[in-house]
Amino acid sequence: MKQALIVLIIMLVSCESSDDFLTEINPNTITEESFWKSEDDVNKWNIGTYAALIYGRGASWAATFPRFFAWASVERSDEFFVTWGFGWDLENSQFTLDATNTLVNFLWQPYWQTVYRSNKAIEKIPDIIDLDETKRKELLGEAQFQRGFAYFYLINLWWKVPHIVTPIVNEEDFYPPTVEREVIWQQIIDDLTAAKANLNTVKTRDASSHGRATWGAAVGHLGKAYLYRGEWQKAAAEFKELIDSDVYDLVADYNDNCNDFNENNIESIFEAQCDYTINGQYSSWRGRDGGPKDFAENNGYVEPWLVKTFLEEKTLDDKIDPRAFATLIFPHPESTLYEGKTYEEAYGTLDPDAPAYWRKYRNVDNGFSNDFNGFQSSINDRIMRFADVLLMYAEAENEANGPTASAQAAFNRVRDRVNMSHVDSGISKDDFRAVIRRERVLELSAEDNRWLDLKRWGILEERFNDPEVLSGEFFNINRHEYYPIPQSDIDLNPNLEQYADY
Amino acid sequence: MKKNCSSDVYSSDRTVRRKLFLKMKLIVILICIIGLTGSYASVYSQQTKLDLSIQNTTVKDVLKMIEGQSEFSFMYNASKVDVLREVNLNIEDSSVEDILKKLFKDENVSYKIIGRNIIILPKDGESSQGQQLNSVSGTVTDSSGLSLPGVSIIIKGTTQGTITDFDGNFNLEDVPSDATLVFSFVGMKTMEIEVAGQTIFNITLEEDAIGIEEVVAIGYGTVKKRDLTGSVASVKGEEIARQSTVNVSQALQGSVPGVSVVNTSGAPGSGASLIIRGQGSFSNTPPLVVIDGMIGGDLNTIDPNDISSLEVLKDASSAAIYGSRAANGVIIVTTKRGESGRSKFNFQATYGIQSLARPLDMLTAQKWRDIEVWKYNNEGQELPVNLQSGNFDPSKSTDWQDELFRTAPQQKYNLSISGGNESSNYSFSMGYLDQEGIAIESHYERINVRMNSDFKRGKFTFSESFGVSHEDSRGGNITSIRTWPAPVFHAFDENGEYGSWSPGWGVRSPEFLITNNPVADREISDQTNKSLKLIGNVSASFEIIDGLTFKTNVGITWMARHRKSFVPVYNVGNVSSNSTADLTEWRDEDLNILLENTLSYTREIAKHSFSAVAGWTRQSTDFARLRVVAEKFPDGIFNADAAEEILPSSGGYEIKSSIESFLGRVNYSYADKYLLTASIRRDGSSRFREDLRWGNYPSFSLGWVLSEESFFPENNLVQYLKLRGGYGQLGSQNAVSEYQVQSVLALGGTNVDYPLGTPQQFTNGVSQVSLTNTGLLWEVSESMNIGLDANLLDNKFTFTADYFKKNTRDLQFGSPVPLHLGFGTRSSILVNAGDVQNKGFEAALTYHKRNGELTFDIGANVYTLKNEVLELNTEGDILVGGQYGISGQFANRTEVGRSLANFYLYETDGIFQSIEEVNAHSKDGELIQPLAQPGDLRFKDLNDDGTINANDKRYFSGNLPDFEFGINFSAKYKGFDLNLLMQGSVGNKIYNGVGRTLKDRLALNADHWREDNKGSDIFRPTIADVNLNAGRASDYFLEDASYLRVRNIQLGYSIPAHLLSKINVETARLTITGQNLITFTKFSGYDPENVSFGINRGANSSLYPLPKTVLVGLSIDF
Repeated sequence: MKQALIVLIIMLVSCESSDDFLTEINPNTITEESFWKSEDDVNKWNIGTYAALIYGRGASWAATFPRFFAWASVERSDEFFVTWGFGWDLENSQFTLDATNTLVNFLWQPYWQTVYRSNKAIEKIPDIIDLDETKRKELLGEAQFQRGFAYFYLINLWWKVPHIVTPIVNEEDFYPPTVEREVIWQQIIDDLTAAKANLNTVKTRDASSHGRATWGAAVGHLGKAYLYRGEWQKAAAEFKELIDSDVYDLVADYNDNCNDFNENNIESIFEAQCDYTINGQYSSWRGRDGGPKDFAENNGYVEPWLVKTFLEEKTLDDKIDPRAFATLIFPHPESTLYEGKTYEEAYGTLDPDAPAYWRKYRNVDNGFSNDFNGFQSSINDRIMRFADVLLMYAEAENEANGPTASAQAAFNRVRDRVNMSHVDSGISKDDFRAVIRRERVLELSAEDNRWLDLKRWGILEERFNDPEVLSGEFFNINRHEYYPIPQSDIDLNPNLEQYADY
Repeated sequence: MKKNCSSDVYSSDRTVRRKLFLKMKLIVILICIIGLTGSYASVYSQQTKLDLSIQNTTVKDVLKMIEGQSEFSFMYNASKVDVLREVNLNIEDSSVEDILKKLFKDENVSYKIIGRNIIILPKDGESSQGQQLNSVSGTVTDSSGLSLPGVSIIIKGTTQGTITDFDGNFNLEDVPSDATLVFSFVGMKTMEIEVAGQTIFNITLEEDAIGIEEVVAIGYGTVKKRDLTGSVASVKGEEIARQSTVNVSQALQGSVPGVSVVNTSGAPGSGASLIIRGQGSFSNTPPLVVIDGMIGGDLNTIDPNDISSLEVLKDASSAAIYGSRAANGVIIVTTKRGESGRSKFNFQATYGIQSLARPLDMLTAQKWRDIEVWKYNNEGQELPVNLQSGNFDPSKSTDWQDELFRTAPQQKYNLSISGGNESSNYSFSMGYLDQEGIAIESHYERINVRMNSDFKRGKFTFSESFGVSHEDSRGGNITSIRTWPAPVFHAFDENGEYGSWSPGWGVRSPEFLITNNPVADREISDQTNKSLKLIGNVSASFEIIDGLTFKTNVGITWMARHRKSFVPVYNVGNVSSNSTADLTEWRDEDLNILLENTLSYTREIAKHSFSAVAGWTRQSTDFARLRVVAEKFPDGIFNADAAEEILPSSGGYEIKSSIESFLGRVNYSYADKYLLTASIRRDGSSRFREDLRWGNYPSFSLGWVLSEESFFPENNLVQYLKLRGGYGQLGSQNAVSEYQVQSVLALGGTNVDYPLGTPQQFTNGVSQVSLTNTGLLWEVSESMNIGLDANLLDNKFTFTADYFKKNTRDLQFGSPVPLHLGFGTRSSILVNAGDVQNKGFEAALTYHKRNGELTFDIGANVYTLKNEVLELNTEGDILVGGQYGISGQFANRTEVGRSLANFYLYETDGIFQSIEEVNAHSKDGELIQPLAQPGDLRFKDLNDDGTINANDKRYFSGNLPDFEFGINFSAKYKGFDLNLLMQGSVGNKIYNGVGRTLKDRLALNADHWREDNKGSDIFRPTIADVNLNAGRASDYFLEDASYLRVRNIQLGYSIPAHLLSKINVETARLTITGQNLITFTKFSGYDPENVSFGINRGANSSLYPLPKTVLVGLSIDF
């Protein structure tokens, strides 16, 4: 018994406090508790939010704007005729997709990542003690811009989406319902209006901060939101404010908007930053699709009507619109592709009916001999540039007040760069509308505007029924105006209302 | 000490005191029990009074009469105590001591009363003159009178001994006249005979009544099989070694009812997945493995030849002693230890050839082209240029299966030495395995060393078990078949360079650039995966008083793993290339330390048998990883120092976790008739929030041996019958990783960093990339088990049956987070998602027969499992799973009232045979499948809304088998032995996710639907799958995966001893073994066992098919 007692004592002595032994704190990363203390913290958080612009899916080859959105816009619209693909991209461009489509899944994710991340910043920034007030406004404005920006794409690509403006805390927050579209639109306008005010001090950025949102990005997108809603007067006012600020101008060489030599330039309002030389993870993947046959992976060709549009009108000195050579690879003696090869050298023909391909956003100007192994590029995605703002202003002003001198001036400014004639100053409102729409094709093709333009103009169905357009055999306005919400989310959240009959 | 019963358990100092109190309480209870039983025992012999009146009766009968009147039992050696002497006695109301005094008054006999046991011994001095040495000899036979060769005869306590020759004769020199001879032979009861001056021994060995006297490990102690109350299956080391498998886990297949052993991969060195009594949990975690007392071992690191026995604790009442560690069952491995006697040497060698078990029939280039041509013609599209006549050369056809698989040798050796004396023993072994994989470039090499020893001195015992293994492997799955190139492409071109391909083959990307050259992919990169694992523990025990032992056990496992992946600069045409040499290198270290203090007590008093154990344990793990990612290397140099750039994705981390437990168990049996076991374990884990970290896991079980009852009639049918039943609770934290309940942020990394600025700079961002549930709870399962053990028909048959029901509540489940919450694909949050019930029935029957020189054993087992989700806490009472690839296809769904991960698919209704049939598939004049063409699948519009969408899915059965079974047969005749093991599963299905695209490559696809082949059940090939034939998860891809597999067949021959004695070899056995030679199944993929678990259960996704193997082997003892 005595021995048993000794053993007992040994056992008791060898037990120290259990709770110390059982407490393990994660030694590998920062925690929610230790974060949100300083300007640097918020800075880093906002950078994390921008990340969704280029790889929202979280895989190294998955680029948001510089790839998925190109599918949603360029390949899906009447700009490009898609002949083959993986299946899911083909379903997308041929309108045979269902709610399990991979592209829809890829597209859906990054905007919601931006929403979550910016929600968190908007919640936390006001309570950070160690933060200069000017800086606080600036950082908050940046987050508000990001949220408004994300919802803008959500409401334009999907019919109804949930309205989430606070960070997810626990499981009760997992099942938000879809809301009326107007609720989301109001959120976009509120966010961008607030962002515009808070970013008032940030008209330009240091070279080291290029890529972060500025006052101009907020104003431009606010104007765009009004424009899409048909609030012409308001849209025109915002665009005018931007134009009059003299912060932005057009670059002299149109081609500077198409490659990676002169990024974040004076024309640039908001760009997705891409650089494939850093770890391969920040690449643009636009070169993956729509490139010239035999030199890049080729999945189709530029629609003939579009090529024709470029060739219809010559410059004042009777040359082909220089934007054609920057945008397209097409059967013309001066059209070049990789390593300065001409179309004829490459394909042995200049038959005007031979297929055309995209040149804009490809690695053509970088000395590549082809793009088979270099789908990835460093070319930033110009999400919004000043030329677009000028054309949007002309459009809004025309709709609100007719073809005013101010509207015509903005329009002519875009034409001047490429030495094209001014609009006839006596033009009617309707005619001016038509030339603006045409000008958007010449200026902005392959830059992701076309699908959304056709949709807001209400002419999707008309275009796909037009005999000059090859795409859209299976297009059905009641089913394809918006994307379905991915089936996986419908399965997980029964409060979501699915679009159409998906 | 203050008894603090405050409800405020969160206050840390109170909690500590509370736990100390608990700890003390256990020990106090234990001491009280010891005291009670002790005093109770000494009283019995004085208080029991007996009456005896006898005339001319032998002493033997008198003792029997006393046993009949009381609970005493006598032990004596009839050769030393003259019990046939006749006596007269007349005694009333006397104690047993008085009776014995009278009975042995003038005899040279003493006696000892120990509780209710009385031992009668010849008085000291009587036999002390016996140091003279004799030569003894004799014959050993079995009960039928046939001689037994190979019986081992050892002089007890020495290393001296011999074995019987071919005719059962033996001769042993220099045997002390007071020695004891131990006769042992496999399958026979071991017999001890005192020499007592005799020189001739004709011994008959009795057959072992199949195992009920065997000792079985139950964790923190052992128990005789006859005293078991829980459901514990025991597998002998020989049965494991005999199968010649590379891993222990594979050897368990088909041998333990209730244990599903599934070979999810046939990669060299890969072990099988073990599932004990079904999946109660979403996390497919393996059962707890305890190797020689060290918790958390790895079955794969043990050489099957090193195992002495292996126990599977199947039900909660037996596993509860391991509390939260045991939710998926427990496997206790006991490795071989030395025995008293001379050194024994054993050497084993096997050599074998493996090949693809079930090769698939692949398309030839010509047939592939035929399909493509049909496809383009059918859709009215221009034929790709390379497929046009004149350009296409059908003579060059590649069977990628042949390119990627091969026949591969394997060899395995094991050398062991063991021996010992009365105070110490040792056992050393060394094993070497070299296995090439059937997939090119895969291999596995393992070296094991094991050292076990025990030392005894007085009341102290020290034991040590130590194993080291080194593994060097390259496995990995073979590239998924869906990405194999078409047969028109070639692994190598005319110049012997890796084959590449250019456009012109078709519009579908797999026919063009997306498809890499899989041979090049495997050969070009340089992959290393080496690990050194060490598992060892040292225990010291001290017997404080008789039967009361204190034991400290300290165990360590340590693993160092080094992985390296180097991809040099290469260029395979347009197919794939690497412009900068890349290196990724990982170094991992995993340290696991266990400390256990236990106090155990055993006491037998008359018919009461009592044992108890109480203990306190702590275990901590510390995992650290260092990772270097570098690029741009000079030619021929692969180490990071030579790299031009170390990339920012380099890094490292450390994960620590700890667990603390208190445990206690009591076993009690009365007269081997009534059995009781009760245990409790209290576990605290660092993985939960402080106030939620402790859990208590109690259990109890009862057994009743009916055959020991006096009312149980003597009969020829049932010799032994035991009923048992138990209840227990177990916890689980298996789905919870360390720090998972702590909210963390990602500092940098993919999806967080962004290249800002002009020029662009890599900029670290911060974000939250997953959601955290800080309030996560233990997963708890409660289960009950009812069982029956019986020996039938003259002990020739043994029968065991169990029924169990297990309810698991607060299931931990990584619930997929909807994408609109902003965490991307694959993001999930761990929640306590619901309750699941598993119930099942298990039965095993064995038959043992020895008929002269022919011995044979037949065993059969069968088990069933039903699974039902009782409750889910998620919205809509649904959990979704079975995600395929990246397209968000779900093939399984978990819903209340159904089984876990039930198949949930579109229902197909054949193939449209004509455009009329497509048009007829309509609702209110609108086509249900407007894009369909003849040859496409017809989907049922189950909700009748005129369109096919996710609401048209329904449940399909088959994610669990109806039953699984194993049959083994072994026979021995003279020197020959034959073993056969078959195993299978009936009623389970596989959603053939691979097959969805695999069919493009299989020969059977040539039989696709077309106008002139309308009977075909293979839908038409298409350029773009507009009807979503392959794009929808439908029952079309659900295949019957029932199978019967001849897992192992072995023929052995033991060379006669008289031939071996000349070369000093005791036994030598030659074997030829075939593994997985035949499989009967309808499944169209490689392997019906290739099943995924968890929420995707039944979905076939990956791929390293199981090889079939033919082995020759040699085993010698000397």
